[in-house]
Amino acid sequence: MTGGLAIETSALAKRFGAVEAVAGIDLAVPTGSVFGFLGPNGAGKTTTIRMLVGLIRPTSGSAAVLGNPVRPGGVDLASIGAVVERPAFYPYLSAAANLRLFAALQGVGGSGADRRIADALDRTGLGPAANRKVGGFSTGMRQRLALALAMLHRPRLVILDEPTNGLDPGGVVEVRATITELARTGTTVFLSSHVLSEVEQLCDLVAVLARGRVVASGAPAELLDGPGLLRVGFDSAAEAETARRLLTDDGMAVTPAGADDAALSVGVAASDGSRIARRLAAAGLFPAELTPVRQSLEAVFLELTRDAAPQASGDGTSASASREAARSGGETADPDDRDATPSGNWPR
Amino acid sequence: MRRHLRADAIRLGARWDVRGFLLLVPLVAVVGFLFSYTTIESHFGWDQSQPMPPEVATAIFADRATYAFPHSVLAVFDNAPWVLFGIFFLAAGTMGLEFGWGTIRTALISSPDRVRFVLSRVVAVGAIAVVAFAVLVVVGLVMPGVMGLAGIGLPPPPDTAPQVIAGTVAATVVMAPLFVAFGVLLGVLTRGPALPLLLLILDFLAEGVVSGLPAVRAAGLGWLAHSLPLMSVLNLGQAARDNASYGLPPVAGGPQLYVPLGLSFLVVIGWTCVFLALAAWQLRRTDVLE
Repeated sequence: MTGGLAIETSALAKRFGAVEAVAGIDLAVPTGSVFGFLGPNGAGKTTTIRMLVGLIRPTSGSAAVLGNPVRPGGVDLASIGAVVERPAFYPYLSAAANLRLFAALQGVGGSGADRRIADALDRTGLGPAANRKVGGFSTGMRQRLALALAMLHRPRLVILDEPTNGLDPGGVVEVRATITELARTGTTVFLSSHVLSEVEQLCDLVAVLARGRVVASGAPAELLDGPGLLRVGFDSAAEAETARRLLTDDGMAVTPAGADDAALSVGVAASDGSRIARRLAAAGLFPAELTPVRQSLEAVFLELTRDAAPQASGDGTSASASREAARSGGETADPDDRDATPSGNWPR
Repeated sequence: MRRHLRADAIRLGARWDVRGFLLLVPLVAVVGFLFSYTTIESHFGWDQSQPMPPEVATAIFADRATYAFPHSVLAVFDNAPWVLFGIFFLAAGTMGLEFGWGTIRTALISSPDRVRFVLSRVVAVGAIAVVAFAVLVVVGLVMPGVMGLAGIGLPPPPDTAPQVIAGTVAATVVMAPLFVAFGVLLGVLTRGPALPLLLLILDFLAEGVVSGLPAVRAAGLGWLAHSLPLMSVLNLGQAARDNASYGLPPVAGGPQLYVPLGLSFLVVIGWTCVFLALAAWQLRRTDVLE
């Protein structure tokens, strides 16, 4: 494994019975980066994270975190903080007692632990609730507590699985600020999310997962630099219709631009604008508007994952099945991950 | 391991069932001691319209003598099996709830060593058992004095060797790790707190049926009764009591159904190790999806 990588996976795969939840993914997360792990529900994100922190055993392939090979029960988590799926704490213990317990497990003890716990609770806005039992916490408060725990032992790598789930807008802003602060101090952040604006805003690198496979990866700007759209407006619908036929005959993808009869959307790169203008002018058509339409990450994401099977809405059926299998030591569908077949490549 | 034990101290120390159990132990021991003492006469039948026959009076006198110091410790330990069930329930419940609450995920992310997770739980619940049994011993030691202060005179105790009392106490205490390990194993296997108790009862029934089948005995397999885990516990308890009655060693003239104390110890310790190993192995191989 390369020293400069915080996380590296090679053909990492996980099957649950007949279902291929993660279908051999290769990830390379540079140290110090904020890495976005995007995918629809059931794409395999949580299963991948569970493998990275040693909660489940890969069916095949390998992974290394901070240079150490990953295996269940044998992951060196001393330098890793993680929030995996919905936070789970002892409901009869206070927030501070929960942190004290897990701090003990992390090897953080003594008076230093109390200071760190108070600091972590303050940073996540839970200071006033430090002595309240977690059983009475809202989802958002539990999420904050999980973040406090993940950062308690000052890890070099923080793995966050949907960290803003259940948070109010203020909480979301705070979490994003925390992630930015972590990145500023050199901590590697592996951020699994389907909140695309969050990923676009925070991440240096992104991998998009669909049906258990990485279908695209790179810097967000690179992903957005795919097939662009040009909005071409005319003075009349008749001119637009003539232009549509002309450009379609030239092999371009042309569609009406929304409800405007006098405008077209042409699927070409922004740099092709001048070529289109010349072609239309040669035919005596002079566009009133020629505007590159910047693709949103949402559009890219939907394009990349559109072939993915409709995702289950968390009805718990698979969760039950997977737990049933886990009881018997076998494997079946994971709550997060279902059908996993290739969904195509980045459409360049 | 120290990290895990510190975590278990926080985890278990605040649980209401642990606290309730530790409060119940002295209470039930005292009540049980007094109740069994005051109901001794009801165990003997005679025509109440007539004076008590001398042989009944002698038997009652002898029974009452077993409540005198230091034999009173054995009288308290007669009621100890419920403590073992309590310990089993704590072990299975605390382990099962780790899965039910999903806290096993958080715990294993904080410290991934699953074998230590199991071992520390066994040690922690075992420590609770030690406290519970220590309380029983104390109750057994002080109750005759308390009764004396209350004006209840006790006959002189039977001539029981101190090692017999110690052996009986040890025979009960050594069962605790087995119940703890069995509880932890069932907690890991069932991933919940409720099912283990039912399974324990079913296991008791199944072992009783298997070891008690006439065909089994006819085939010379009576040793099964001493080798099955829970049957061996019963045998150990019975052997300890027989030894207390007949004196140590051996069980000369005692019922031949029961194996010698030392062998029972070995069987119980062996099963404890098996259950521990199975629990650790199961938790190591399982995918934690909670």
